[in-house]
Amino acid sequence: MATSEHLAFVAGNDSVPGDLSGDTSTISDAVNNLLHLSDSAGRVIVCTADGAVAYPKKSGANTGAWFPVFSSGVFYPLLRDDGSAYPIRVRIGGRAGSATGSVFRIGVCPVGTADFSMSAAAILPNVVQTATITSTTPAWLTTLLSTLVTLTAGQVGAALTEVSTYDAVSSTTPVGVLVCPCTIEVWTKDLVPADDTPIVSGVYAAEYVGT
Amino acid sequence: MSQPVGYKRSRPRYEDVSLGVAARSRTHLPAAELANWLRGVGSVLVPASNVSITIAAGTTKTLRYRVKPIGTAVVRVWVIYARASAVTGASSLSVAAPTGATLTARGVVGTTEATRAVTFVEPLTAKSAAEQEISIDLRVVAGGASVLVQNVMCYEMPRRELLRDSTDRGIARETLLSREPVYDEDFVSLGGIMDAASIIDTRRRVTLFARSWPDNITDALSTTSGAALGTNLLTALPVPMLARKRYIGDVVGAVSPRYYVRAPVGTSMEIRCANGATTVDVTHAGTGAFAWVTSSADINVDCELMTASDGRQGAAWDELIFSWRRSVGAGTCYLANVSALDLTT
Repeated sequence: MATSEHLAFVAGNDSVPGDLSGDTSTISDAVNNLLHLSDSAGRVIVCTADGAVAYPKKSGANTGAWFPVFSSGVFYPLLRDDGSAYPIRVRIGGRAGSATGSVFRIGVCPVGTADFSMSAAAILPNVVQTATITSTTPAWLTTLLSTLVTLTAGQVGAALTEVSTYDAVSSTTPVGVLVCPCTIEVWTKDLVPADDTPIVSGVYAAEYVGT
Repeated sequence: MSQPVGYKRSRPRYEDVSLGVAARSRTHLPAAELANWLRGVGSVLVPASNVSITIAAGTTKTLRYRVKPIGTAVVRVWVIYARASAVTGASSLSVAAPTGATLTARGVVGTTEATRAVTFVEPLTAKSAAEQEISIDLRVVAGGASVLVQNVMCYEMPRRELLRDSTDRGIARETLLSREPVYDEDFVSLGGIMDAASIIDTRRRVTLFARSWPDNITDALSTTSGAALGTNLLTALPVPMLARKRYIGDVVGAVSPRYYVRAPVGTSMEIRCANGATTVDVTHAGTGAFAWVTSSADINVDCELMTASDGRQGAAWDELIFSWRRSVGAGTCYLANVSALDLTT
């Protein structure tokens, strides 16, 4: 949730506190600014909007089951102080395979959990789904049941892992950092099993601290 | 002393900052930890974006992006989602950063039915906060199957610990422990916190959109159309945009378009970035070579409304529409990148 008192950056706060280092209002503004910078630190993870380009399903995936059409690749979401991930604001563009209709899901999934999360019978908190899409013209879909997907502290905790990186330029000494590897996934399902052509043509996912 | 970057953000409490109550370590320490987290957590330089290029065996394609990092990262990660046109193991994708000949990774790409990520870790030789081009070479090994590259993403690895210098601005946490004296000095104590809290550039959104095509006239987007701007679109769907909220009262944030284009000498092109009633056009006179073109002006888009459940103002999506045309001459115009950057400071 947004944590800063003013929900914005307070300009004019002196970077050199000098003798005012213990002044309540100065410290309060500094805390506000740090909190707001953190609240607004959400990053755009996915932004693609090529309506004419298809992310095709697996060939032969005409069983009426959920199948993957897009994955962002692994990224590390920002984590809030309670251990949950910053919620992710999402949007899907696409078109149905036929006028009979297709449905789409977008979710944020810790690595190794996408198959379960994206194809579960129930819609999990880290996944949102569209209503049935019948238009065969690519467009941003307006019937997502929510625009936010979330990962709880429990989901994050189960996925936390240490990965190697470097902490200095041209370093040859690896260090470990703790991250929660995740992917943004988009899956589709045809309502006509023989139909194999729903297309995902736009995906947007951006972190947002939430309210 | 140490300036660790936490794996999650901390949260100093307002109730600890009260008139008449002595300043306490339990306020200052989380504030310093939050400042270090902000500086070290890493940005997304290239949000995952469609590429959809098929690379033949023995062929190299180069993708170029324009970014302005925060300047604290020392490692970039490229994630390339790709698949081969033949069975597992029939091909592999070699990834390299053009600036580092030795930085080569190789990932086996799956079958026609499996798309998988190839991750390339690029250690940097210098920290930089300058607006710059970053690029990646994608090569399919000779004799292998062709590879379809679907999307590319690039982000910075989080740091484990910052330095106490003017680039990292790490704050030594030991100087904020209970019973430590208050110092007004750089990178320690309250002086470090106040410094960090005054820099709004500490965590820009960096890149809001980046779409790249290979930087050659065969693969780049091309046009000879002189149709009015607004009709010949660079992306078929409008591009969602939401800037970060900066100051009290702000309802918009500035976004800076960038383009990587080429036109023959004697040919000019115009590119438009439009947002509702606002349009920002730029003209490029051809030189016969690809070049980065900076928009003539920034364009304002909605910024996040921090009281809205998903940050959108009025539950509506703000969007940018990019279009282009040949405006002068008879040659073919090419475009190999369109980006929207957050350069605000």
